[in-house]
Amino acid sequence: MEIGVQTKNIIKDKDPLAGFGQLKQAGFTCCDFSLDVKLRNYDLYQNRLNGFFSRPLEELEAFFAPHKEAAEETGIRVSQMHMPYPNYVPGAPDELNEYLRNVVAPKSMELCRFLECPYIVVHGFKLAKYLGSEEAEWEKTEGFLESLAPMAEEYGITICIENLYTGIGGHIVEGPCCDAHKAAERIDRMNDKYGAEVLGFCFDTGHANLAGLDFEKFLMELGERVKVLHIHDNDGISDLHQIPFTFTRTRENTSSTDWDGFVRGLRGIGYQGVLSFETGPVLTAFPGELKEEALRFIARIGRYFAEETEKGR
Amino acid sequence: MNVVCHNMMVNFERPAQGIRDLKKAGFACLATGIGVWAPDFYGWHKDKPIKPRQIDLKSVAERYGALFAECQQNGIRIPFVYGPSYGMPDPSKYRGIRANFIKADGSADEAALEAVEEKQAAFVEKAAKECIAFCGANGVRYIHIPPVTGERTAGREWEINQGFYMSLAAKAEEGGVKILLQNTYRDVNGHLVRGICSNPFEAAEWIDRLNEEAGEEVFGFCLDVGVCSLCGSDIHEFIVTLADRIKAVILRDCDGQHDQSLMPFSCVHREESLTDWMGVIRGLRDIDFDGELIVNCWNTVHAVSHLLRPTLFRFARETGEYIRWQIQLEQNLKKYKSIVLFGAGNMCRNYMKNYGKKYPPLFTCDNNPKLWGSEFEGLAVRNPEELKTLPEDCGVYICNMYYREIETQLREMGIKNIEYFNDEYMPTLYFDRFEREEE
Repeated sequence: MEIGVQTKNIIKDKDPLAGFGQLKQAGFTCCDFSLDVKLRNYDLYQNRLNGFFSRPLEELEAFFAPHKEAAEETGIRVSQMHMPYPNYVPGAPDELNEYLRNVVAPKSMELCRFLECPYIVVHGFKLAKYLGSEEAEWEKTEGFLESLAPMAEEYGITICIENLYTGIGGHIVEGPCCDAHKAAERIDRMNDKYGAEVLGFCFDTGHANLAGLDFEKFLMELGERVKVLHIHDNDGISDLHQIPFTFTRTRENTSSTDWDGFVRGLRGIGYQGVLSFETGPVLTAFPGELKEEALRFIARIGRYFAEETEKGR
Repeated sequence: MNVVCHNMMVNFERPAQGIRDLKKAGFACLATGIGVWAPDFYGWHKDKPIKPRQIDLKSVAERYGALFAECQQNGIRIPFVYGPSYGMPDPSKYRGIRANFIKADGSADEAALEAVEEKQAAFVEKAAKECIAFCGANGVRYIHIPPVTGERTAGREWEINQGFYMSLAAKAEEGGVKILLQNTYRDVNGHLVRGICSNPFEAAEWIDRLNEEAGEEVFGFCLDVGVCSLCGSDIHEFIVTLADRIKAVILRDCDGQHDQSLMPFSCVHREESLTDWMGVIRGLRDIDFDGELIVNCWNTVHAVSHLLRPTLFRFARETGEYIRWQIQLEQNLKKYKSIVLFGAGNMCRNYMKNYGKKYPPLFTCDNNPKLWGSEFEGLAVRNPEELKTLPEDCGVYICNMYYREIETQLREMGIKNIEYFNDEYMPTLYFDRFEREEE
């Protein structure tokens, strides 16, 4: 199994080769391309657009050409990509939401193809509170996904929906795509319609931990629909995106995240994909001098998960 | 729908004062535990070796007779009881019990464990049957018997629980009592995550399979809002998935991290509740819930002085009544042949967006003379004086947060059929409302 990590806080536009080199040195062979950093969520929630995606596609491709070359040169495969999010901002002007749907999303798909990336992770709409039910919320997300599905089919890209959370007075609870039963049915329905794997699932360990999901059961229910991972840890309270095995809650100091269940789940579904970490914040938490060590440690944990997952196969 | 008080203070040996307090607070129903005497066979404690508990083998009738008699005398009904429960923890995780079940070579003494588990299972089954029979004889409709949980059930959850529940089915049917399963959590080294029946599809399947096997609707569900919150569940989806299998709901608040039973709406961050009460209310409204609404604020009650508790009970009762009223909001709109609204602002707008088509008001009125003669959300805005000409069977719904002030005004005008409308937990929320509030 290959090990990957998100490019956020590692790959710099001015010198992508240095960042990809760091990844290689640390022991990664794949990366999760953080396209989302080009249109930050906190800007979107303030109804601010930066114009990055307004550039013509050719210009965007030229912008990312050095990244692509650096990845190739260092032998790092862009195994998954994160589309900017949110894809819909409740209460924002129509123009902003139309821009996200008609400009940002399709251009993200184009860039995914340009980087020869097979999977793009998208966030479902967070609208249940407003619309009154998860079903009504999914209907809106499905409409959005439907708008991208023909591109996905044509380009051979699988769009991956991710288990998300939402906040109730700051208390994090399950958000879109946290019901494996429904997600499986919805993925199958869309794939049947297109006769291709246009939709898949991205299992996010950190979000699952926040929403108290049973990792093993969740993975087992989704099975081979799980295409990519966002591996990271937290204290079960905040979305911290830290290194696995970091958090404990008892005097015994044993991990309060169910990593055993995670491994059992991956093993149970015969997961062969990339063990990709979404641990960008780790690199800002550690001093610059320790960044390389931190990356190496993350890759080492990836190898541990790979070894454990492959045991008994 | 009954608003039921979880037994927070009534002593089963000396119940008079507690029952009096409940009655004074306006409660007519009590939910009490009758399984707390189930012995702890293991003599287990998480951290330190303990002396095995004294096993109290008094019969249920002997132990709880006084409480039930006191309730009967005071007109307090007991529609719901908490029966016995047990778990199967992994002894290797707990220092206090390890010594009893770990061999000299450090391996688990499976034979000793299984023997004790069998003994406990047999006792709990016997105890549960006795409780069910007691319920049948005392008019208790529901007995809450949570699933067998614990590390040692892993991978065998259904198998263990199916056997356990089916062993009780005939007794329940005989006594006309329904056994309620409940959503549970699992402890991952201090982090509480979803356990047995905390996935609504799983819970629904369990109940359906048990009922099918029993050949009768003997099993139902008790939704614990606190557990939903601890497990980060989407409460609305949980409720609508289980639908009419839900016979009772335990209303309790917590911070989402610690298993506590606090007064609903009391656990907040800044000005927002940490529990998804909107999901609770919307969900129960969607399924037309008509079961037992149990208010449990055990920790809140025990944290305040004995002297303040009667006041707290009143507040608990009013909170339960408020939630019931919210759940029945739409049913309340059906009470009158026609309705009018009072208020021409956001709340009126929300009424019209959510209920305007289904229950169209004749008009709305407002104290602001500038609005008289205008139209708001398709409704004519009129002078409140026009309310005096309404027919007898017309309800006047106050759609303004100055409820009490407006109610006084209407009463002074001699208006009848005054009702409150409230838009805090609407079926849908509209973005424009929030934009307006932000302004």
